[in-house]
Amino acid sequence: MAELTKPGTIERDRLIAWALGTFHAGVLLVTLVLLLHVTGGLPSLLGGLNTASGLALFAVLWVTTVWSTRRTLLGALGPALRNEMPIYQLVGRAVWRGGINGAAFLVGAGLVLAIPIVLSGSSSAIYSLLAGALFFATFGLVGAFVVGCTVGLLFGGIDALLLMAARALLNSH
Amino acid sequence: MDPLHLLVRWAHVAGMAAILGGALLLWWLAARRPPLDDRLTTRVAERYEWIFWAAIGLQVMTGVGNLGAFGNALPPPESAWGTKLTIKLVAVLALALFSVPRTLIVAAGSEADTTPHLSLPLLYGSTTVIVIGILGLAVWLAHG
Ligand code: HEM
Repeated sequence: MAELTKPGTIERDRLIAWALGTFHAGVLLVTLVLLLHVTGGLPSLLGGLNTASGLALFAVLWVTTVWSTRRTLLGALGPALRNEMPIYQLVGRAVWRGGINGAAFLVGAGLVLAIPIVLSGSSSAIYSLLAGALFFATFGLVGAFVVGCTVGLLFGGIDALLLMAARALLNSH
Repeated sequence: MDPLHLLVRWAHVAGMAAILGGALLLWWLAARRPPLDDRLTTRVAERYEWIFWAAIGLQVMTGVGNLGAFGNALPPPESAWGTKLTIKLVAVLALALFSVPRTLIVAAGSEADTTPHLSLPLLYGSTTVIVIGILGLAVWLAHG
């Protein structure tokens, strides 16, 4: 475990979490956009969301996902990217952290979408916002957690394969 | 054009320039014989990987912003534009997938501070080729 505290390893793990976290958030969004595009559902979604909110929503997803990925990978990789923990434990972490990420994103997204409503100052809009928040805080969070766990499992598997590819290349010379 | 959409489009093109320029520079640095200072290549590659992923996040964010500029008027998937968009998005996914092992190898090298890995010229060369392909698709999409 001594290597884990070496400054080189800390820097390395920061870069890996940044790359993998961005990979997860980006690939998730592009895949969703692609699926919506080929099924013809994209225009109605785009029509219902203004550009500033869309940018802010992705920024929230990006931040929470990099943070979750960093927590998942904490101490997971040793020198030359060797596994420092059993793979089932790492996948378990990816699922749990994915769930937390789903919930964290929902909270962030709720705040981003609430800003223009609060700024509008209309009291009826603010009442329906509060009702919506109550729904968010209960069913929404559970749903987001479950979806997040599933996505975490999926990306945990993809990452494991990509890590194997990187190790194979590293050892090939 | 709406100022926000103009800004988003500018950032989308600037992000492309960062990704392509860095990949070309590293391809040259890694492939150079005799090598330049090895440490230099490792350090530049490590910094590039940070910038690369920042730019990929930016491309996704501003790419969806570009789609948003079309709103309800977005051409359907079976139109010529729609087909090009589908191909471009698949290519972007391929670039992201291919880039993870590349970053992992650079990161593993930075930890040991050793000479750059022998696969780097191939990895950065392939990155450059994929990005030039996406650039071609993107220009065809926007101006073809
Ligand atoms: C590596 C990633 C990417 C690169 C290098 C790239 C590059 C470009 C370039 C150079 C343009 C042309 C800009 C112009 O001439 O005005 C463009 C346009 C565009 N891009 Fe991307 N892009 C990338 C990813 C994405 C993603 C992920 C999306 C969508 C989710 C996207 C959606 C668009 C759209 C909608 C346009 C405008 C097309 C039009 O006006 O007809 N791009 N891109």
